[in-house]
Amino acid sequence: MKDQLAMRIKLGDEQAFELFFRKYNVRLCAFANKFLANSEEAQEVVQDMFVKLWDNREEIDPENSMKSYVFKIVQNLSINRLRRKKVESRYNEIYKMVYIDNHEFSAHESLLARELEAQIVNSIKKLPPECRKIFDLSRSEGLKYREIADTLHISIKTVEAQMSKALRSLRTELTDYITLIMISIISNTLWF
Amino acid sequence: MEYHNLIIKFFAGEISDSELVHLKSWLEKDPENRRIFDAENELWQEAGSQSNIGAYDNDSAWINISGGAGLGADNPKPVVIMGKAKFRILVAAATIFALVTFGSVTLWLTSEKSLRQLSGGITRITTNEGEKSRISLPDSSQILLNAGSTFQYDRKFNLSDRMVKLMGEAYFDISTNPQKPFVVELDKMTVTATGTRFNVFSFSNENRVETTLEEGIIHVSVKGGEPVEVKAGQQVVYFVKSGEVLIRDVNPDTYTSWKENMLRFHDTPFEEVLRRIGRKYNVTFEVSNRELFDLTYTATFIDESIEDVMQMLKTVSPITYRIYYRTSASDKQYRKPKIVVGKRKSNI
Repeated sequence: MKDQLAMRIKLGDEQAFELFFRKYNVRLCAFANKFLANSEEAQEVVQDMFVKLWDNREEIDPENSMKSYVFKIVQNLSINRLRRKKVESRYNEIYKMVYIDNHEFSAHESLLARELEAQIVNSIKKLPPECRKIFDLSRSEGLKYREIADTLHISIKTVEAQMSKALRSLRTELTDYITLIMISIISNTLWF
Repeated sequence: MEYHNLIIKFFAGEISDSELVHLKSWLEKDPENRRIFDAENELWQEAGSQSNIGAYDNDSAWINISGGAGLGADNPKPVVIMGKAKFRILVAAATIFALVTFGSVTLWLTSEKSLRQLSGGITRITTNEGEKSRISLPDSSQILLNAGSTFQYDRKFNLSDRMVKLMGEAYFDISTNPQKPFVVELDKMTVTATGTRFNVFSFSNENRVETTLEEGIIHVSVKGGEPVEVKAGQQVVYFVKSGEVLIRDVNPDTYTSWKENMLRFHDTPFEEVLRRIGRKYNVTFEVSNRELFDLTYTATFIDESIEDVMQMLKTVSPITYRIYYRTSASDKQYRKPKIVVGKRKSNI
């Protein structure tokens, strides 16, 4: 099936390009961030990709999914950047170990490439209040476990346990959802 | 499950050195473990991108990209496509024009609806502010007439030549016929074509008369002077006040974007910005502080409401405004909405 948006971008339609950008920018940044663990660098990678995409718009093949294509490019750019990182922190050592020269992770299968925003938001909302509060403080506000514990007058152990619980719950919710999509795709295929 | 916890502590920046050693050896052990790490990482990023509002800002990123990709403009300055509040303001040398010019466009607007008159063999099509009109001529040329414009031709049209007159802005798609040149007479300029596409901008209350050629070749003569050949992608600008004539290479899309309901500004002085907004949205402006005329804007609005447009102008420049919606005057006539613009005290 031809991708109409891809076609319009190929023909130089700036509005179509902006639409595409607005649809995927945040997800692509989050995707780049999983390799780089640095949101500024992640944004740089994604911006470079968009500029190059526009410059080379004539090369776009509307027969193929442009979404998979951009996720793939962002993955390659991010891994290249990760490889070149000079400062060896104990952290990016782990990222390098997991992602460099590892071909088992395909951009296509990324959770971030699946457009589950609404489900994620819902799943976060469904967390028990205490759990959600701790998760938000850590994930959104970037507080340390110690700070969260002090703010809420609880122990660090509790923070740790709640964080673990939050992620576990999100994982379960989303796994169910992903499985459900897969089932519906399979059953559709069987019917027709 | 113990390792899930370790991974989360790693992402949250809470992992201890000894735990990190554990995590490392666990990851080394089995590709499946690295897959688990990846899945947790995805979830962590996903949750972050949803809850961490402001971590990734579409608007400022778009400014960088549209600048980097040279989008929308015929020069490398970033042109901002408006979605939400974002803009680029350039403060240029002050050119102050009298506010009086705002009203004068109404002089040759006569009725509520666009009007096609037939008197003495003259056909005249007039558009009001806030509307556009598509015209098919007997020679099958197509004209799109922008708001606040008048187009006319007489019964001799298409006999030996094709003469038309325009006040305002129109986009011409002229059918090819080298025997009968198509001549557009403007107040200060004459454009001659045989078959081509071009845009003409010639309002009596604007300082510029512009003809922009999208395709083909045209000849332009300014105030009865020698015709100059203009090629595709070129624009002739005549500055009424200084009498200067400029031929430059441009991206024609910038000048024809009004056809797609876009309002495009490119280092455009504030008063012209207001006049063009006024024509498109059928509103009048009143500016209380002349200092505002020093502002210039580079921006593109796509199908925004007048409220949104004003809000964006306010976000990016030191202005305040108030919209007075249609009010009925004492004679029971409805006036068009008026927007009063003033200067904001604080600097942006």
